[in-house]
Amino acid sequence: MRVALVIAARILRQRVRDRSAIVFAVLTPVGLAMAFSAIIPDFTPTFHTTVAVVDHDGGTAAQALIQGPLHGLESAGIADVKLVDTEADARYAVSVNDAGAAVVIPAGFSNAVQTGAPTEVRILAGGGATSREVVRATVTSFADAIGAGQLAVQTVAATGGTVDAASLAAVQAAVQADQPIVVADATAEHRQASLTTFYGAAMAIMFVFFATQYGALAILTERRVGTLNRLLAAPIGPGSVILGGSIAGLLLGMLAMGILVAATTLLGSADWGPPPLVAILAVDTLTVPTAGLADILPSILVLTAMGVVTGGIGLVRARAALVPA
Amino acid sequence: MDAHQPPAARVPGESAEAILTCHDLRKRFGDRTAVDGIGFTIRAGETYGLLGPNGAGKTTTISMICGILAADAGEVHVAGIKIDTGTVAAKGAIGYVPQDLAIYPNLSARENLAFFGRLYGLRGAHLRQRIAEVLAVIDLAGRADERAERFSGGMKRRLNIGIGLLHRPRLLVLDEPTVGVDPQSRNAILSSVEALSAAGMGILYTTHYMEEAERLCNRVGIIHEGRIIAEGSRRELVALVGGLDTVKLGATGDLAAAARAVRELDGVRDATTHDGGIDLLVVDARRLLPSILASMNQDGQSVRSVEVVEPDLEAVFLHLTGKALRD
Ligand SMILES: Nc1ncnc2c1ncn2[C@@H]1O[C@H](COP(=O)(O)OP(=O)(O)OP(=O)(O)O)[C@@H](O)[C@H]1O
Ligand SMILES: [Mg+2]
Repeated sequence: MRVALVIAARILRQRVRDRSAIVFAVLTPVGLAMAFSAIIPDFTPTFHTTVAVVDHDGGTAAQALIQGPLHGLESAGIADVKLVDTEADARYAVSVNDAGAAVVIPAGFSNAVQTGAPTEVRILAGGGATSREVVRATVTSFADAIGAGQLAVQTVAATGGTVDAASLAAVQAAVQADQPIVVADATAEHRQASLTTFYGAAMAIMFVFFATQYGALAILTERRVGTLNRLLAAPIGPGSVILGGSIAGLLLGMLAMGILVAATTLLGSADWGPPPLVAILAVDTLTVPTAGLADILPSILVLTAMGVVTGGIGLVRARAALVPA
Repeated sequence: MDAHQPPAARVPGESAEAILTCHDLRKRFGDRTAVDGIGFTIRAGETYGLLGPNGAGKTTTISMICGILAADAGEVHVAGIKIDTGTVAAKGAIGYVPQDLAIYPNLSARENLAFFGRLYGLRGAHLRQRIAEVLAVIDLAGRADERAERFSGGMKRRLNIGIGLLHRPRLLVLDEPTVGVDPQSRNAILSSVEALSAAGMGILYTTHYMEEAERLCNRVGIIHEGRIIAEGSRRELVALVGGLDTVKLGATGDLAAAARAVRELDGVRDATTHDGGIDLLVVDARRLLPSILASMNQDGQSVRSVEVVEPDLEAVFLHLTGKALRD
C-alpha cells in the first residue's frame, strides 16, 4: 500500500506538472457546469394574459378579491386586470381576445360571503386553457383563503387546449405569497433542479469511472514512457502500479467531482441537497441526493454498469500490457 | 587501443560468494528462439560480460534474470534466492539499468532518484544522502533539480544508470549502458563500474563493444543466437583462436576474388570481405604480410590501408561465428 501511495503521489505530481490534472479536474467540470446552466436555463414564465373583471357587487369582499389575488397576478407580471362595466363587455373582450378570461362577481357577493349564503363567481373563458386555469386557480385560492365553502367557482364556455403547468404553479405560489414570483417550491422548478442534478450526478459517476480506468491505463503509460520494466524489476507487488494509478485517478476524479458540485451549485443550476449529502456523495457517488432519486435510479444504474464495463476493459488491457507477447 | 590493455589483474577467487547463478534459461517469442539454454555464475566483486551483436539475446536474458520476463525454462538465483516474475522482496538485491531510457521526463533528476529509491525502501535522511552520493557519481549534482527532459542524451543515460545504483544492490545489471554516450562520459561510467566492482558488487554487463568487455570484465560470455558459445577470461578466450592475428586490409576491386586468392596462402586461416576491405585470420601476421600484399597486388586490387591486430575478443567472435561483432 505504501508503494502504491508513492506511485500515486508521483503520478499526481506529473499530472499537475503537465497540466493534465488541471484540465481534467478543474477546467472540464467548470466547463460542464457552465454548459449545464446554458442547456437548462433558469425558468421564468413567459405567459401573459389579460383578465377582465365585472364587479356587480362593489362590496368589501369583491374589493378584497380584486385588490388581493387578482392584483397579485398583476404584480407577478402574469396578467393585467381590466375592470369592465357589464358582463356583455367582458364576453366581448374575451371573444375578440382582448382578454384571456373574465371574472364576473355577482351582486350580493360580499353579503353572501359574510352571511354564508351561497353565491357564485363565474369565469368566462376563451380558447386559452391556460388563462382559464390561471384565473380559476386564483379565484379558488381566494375562496379557500376566506374559508367560504359556499363560494362556487364556475367556469363557463371552456374550450380545448392544454394547461401550462409551470405557469399555473407559479401563479399559485404568487397568489399565496401575494408578491412577485420567487418560487422555490413550484413543481416545474423541482423538476428542473433534479434534472441538472441528474446530469451532474451522471457526469460525476462518469468522472470516477473514467478516473479508475485512467488509473488502470497508467500501466500502458509506463510502458510508453519506458519505465514499466524498471517497475517490474523493482521489489514491489504486482498490483502496486495499477493500484497506484487507480488511487491517483480516483483522487483526481474526486477533485473533479467536488469542483463539478461546487460549480453547478454556484451557477445555481443544481440542487445537491444539504452539505452532508454532498459529503456522502463525495465518498459514494451512488448516493444521489434530491427527491427524484427513484426516477433517476435506473439511469444511474445504467451509467454505473457502463462505468464498470469501461473500467473493466481498462483493467483487462492493463493486464494484457503486463503479460509480454 | 583498449584491446591491448592487460587483462584485469584482480580475479575473485572461486571461494567468493555466488551472487547470481542461472542455468538453462530459455525463451521463445512465437517461433523465434531468443534465448536457447543460457547459464552462468557471477561472484561478489566479479564483473561478467555478455558480449554479442544485435539480437543475440542479451536483453532477453537480462529480463529473465531481473524477473521482468517469465522464462520458458531454467532458473535464476540471486544471493541464493530464486527469482521469477512473481518475486517481490528478493528483487531488492538487484540494481537494474535498462538498455532503453527508463526515467520520467517531466520529473527532475532528484525526483526520479527519489521515486525509485522509495520503491526500493529507502527513505528520509538515508534516501537524501544516497541521492546526493549518486548525483556526484553520475556527475549531475549541478543540475539535479532540472527536469530530465531538458538533459542531453548522455546526461539522461547517466541518470538512467544512477537510478540502478541508488540502493547499493548486490548485483548490478547494466544493459549496454554506454550507447550514445560521449567518450568522456563513457570513460566516467566505466570508471564508476570498476569502482563498484572493487567495492564487492557483482556486475553483469552487456555490450557489443569488445573494448568495454575487455576493460571491465573478469569473465566474458560470448553470446550468439541465444547461446553462450564461449566463456572465460580474455586470455582464455583468445587462446581459443589459437593465437591467430587479424590483418585488416582496406582495399577496393574484386574483393571476393582477392579473398579466395589470399585464402590459398600458407598460414592464412580465414578471409572475410566487407564493405571496403578484407579481414584475414593468420598465424603470424608480421611474417605473412609481404606475401599477402603481393597476392593482392598480383590480382590487381588496390590496397589503401593495412592494420594488424593481435588477438582480441573481436577476433574471437569472428573466429567462432564467422561474423564481425559490429556491422
Ligand atoms: N518482446 C519480443 N517479442 C518478439 N521478439 C522479441 C521480443 N524481444 C526480443 N525479441 C527477439 O529476440 C531476439 C533477441 O533480442 P534481444 O533484445 O534479447 O537482443 P539483444 O542481444 O539485447 O540485442 P541488442 O544488442 O540489439 O540490444 C531478437 O531476435 C528479437 O527480435
Ligand atoms: Mg538489448
